[in-house]
Amino acid sequence: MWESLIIEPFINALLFIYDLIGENFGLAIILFTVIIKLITWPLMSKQIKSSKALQEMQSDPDWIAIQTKYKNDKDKLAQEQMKFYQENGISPFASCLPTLIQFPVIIGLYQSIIQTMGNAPLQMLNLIPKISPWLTNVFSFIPGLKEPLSLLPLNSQSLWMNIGQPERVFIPGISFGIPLLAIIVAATSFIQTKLIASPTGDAQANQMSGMMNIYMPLLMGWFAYSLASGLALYFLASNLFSIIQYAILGRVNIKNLLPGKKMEVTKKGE
Amino acid sequence: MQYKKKVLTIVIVSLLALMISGCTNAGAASSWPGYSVQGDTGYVSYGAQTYAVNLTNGSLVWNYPAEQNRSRQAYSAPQVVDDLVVIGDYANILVAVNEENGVEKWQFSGAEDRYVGSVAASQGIIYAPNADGYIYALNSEGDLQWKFQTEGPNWSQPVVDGQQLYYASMDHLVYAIDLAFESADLELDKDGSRTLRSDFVWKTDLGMAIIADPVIVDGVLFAATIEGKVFALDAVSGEIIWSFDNGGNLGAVWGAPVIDDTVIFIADTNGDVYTLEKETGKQIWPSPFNAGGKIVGSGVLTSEGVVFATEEGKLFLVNEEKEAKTLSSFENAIYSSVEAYEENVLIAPTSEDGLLALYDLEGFVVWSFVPTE
Repeated sequence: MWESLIIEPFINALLFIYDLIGENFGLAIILFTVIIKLITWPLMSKQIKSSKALQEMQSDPDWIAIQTKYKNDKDKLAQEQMKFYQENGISPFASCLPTLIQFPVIIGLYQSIIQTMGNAPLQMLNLIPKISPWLTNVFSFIPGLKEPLSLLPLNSQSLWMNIGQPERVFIPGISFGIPLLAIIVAATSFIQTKLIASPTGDAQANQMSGMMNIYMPLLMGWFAYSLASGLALYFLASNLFSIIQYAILGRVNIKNLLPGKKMEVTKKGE
Repeated sequence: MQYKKKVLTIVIVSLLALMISGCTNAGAASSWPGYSVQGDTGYVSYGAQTYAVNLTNGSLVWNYPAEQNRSRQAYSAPQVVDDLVVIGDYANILVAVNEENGVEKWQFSGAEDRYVGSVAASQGIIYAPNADGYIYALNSEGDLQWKFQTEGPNWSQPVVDGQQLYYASMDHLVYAIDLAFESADLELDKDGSRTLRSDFVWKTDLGMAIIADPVIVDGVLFAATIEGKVFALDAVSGEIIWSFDNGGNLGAVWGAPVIDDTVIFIADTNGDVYTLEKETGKQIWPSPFNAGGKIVGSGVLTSEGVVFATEEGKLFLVNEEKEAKTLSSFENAIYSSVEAYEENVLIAPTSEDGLLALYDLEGFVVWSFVPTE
């Protein structure tokens, strides 16, 4: 079910793009990531707006008053919270649903990129039966399209890197390879988390968010350092797209990037 | 409370790490054992180890390296070249060890990608195909003599016949290279190595990637593609004599064709075994024999028929009359080739049944080699 609904269509779409753009797998990964992100844009927008509404609610005086007044009566607190939601047209689960729908798509995107690389025998063995000419048949009017199976093995050389191997840049005079892409991925992950961070008045939540802002970029950098560079390209494209998306939706706070500046708390009406 | 938050953050990040690394199958086996037979010794590589096994009783002769290095995973079949055993690994290194005791003699680290296919050798020269798109020619001391560039990764084993080297690449092409080339045909590269530029006798495009090892018999080269097409090529001219795809129903072919005097046995990833007339490529059985699971490794010819193994772990024998019998069933998938030793067959079950096991043609285990940790 998972394979036939998500992975196989994704693999074939990725191969189709690869064929269309002249067999550059690195660019195909970037383009495919952007297309999937564009398709899931409405869901992501809804999620961003809903989470913004929830964050604003946290600093609403009426909401704070309810929390204070009924802090010792859980049942009453729940009742009043529900009432507040209804009166203000807020759905506490509105930000969860788009995430739940997006999650398999993003995981599928990630898995399909790994599987399409097929750079080891077992991967290749599993990849071949998933390839189908349906997209090529649908778009048969486009001249020069190839039989998808004939695209294998994919051209692993893209830009300056081998897509199937961890990326390193070798500079004359330096005895070791510099993981340039991993550094860029870590940097864009850091910028992304800082730019879109919208702390609330809750100090503990802010502290946790602050720790994630450090751990996540390091983790993403480590993945980009140790995994195939095709995945690092996916991380990079995904980060950049998220930053742009948040910027378009007015959820980016440039001031958060300034050194020494404490993150600004998002307040109602901002 | 702050401590709890920190722990929670670390748990979330760790779960994410686990999820992503799980998706990439990091650390999991990405291939299967490769092995070859030389006299009474079998050489098997799997994961970070290569073992020499006494085929008369299944005892360990030596293992290499003495200390496991997880980054040095070797899956292609080790090959004996004179008094050396040559092993290519996934860390882009080709190693030669002493055939008698497994002591390392040399390493060649000039390739930029993995070794998936086994090496071939002739007249003291080792031909090592690599996924970086080169075939490296080294002498018995491990010194690079020259290299030949294909247009894609190389996963199959080259074949040397007389003065010609035949190579079936994933770039869809089969090459015939004249090994008696002039030194002027070698071009000096920036790194000081030399590349054979143009001196191939012929190259033939088969339209799809080739992973199966080609086989040459009586001046005819047999090769098969991942599309599911088998070709017979004239070894002199490279012209296609015949091809077979069963009307597009032949699945991807990973194993080398098994060739009898007049019959070719072909097995595919649909689990079908076909018999073809060697001279014409005409299908002999009206319909293939279905083994019930993907057949990936090459089969082996025995006195009673051809023995194959399936992804479902079934070891079976089928003869030219299409009479089949199951010899044994294993817990794990079997992707490795089946090899013959005397009247028995070698199999790599990679399970509790052993890394390497010898079975007779009645399906009884003669011995099983289980590596100690």
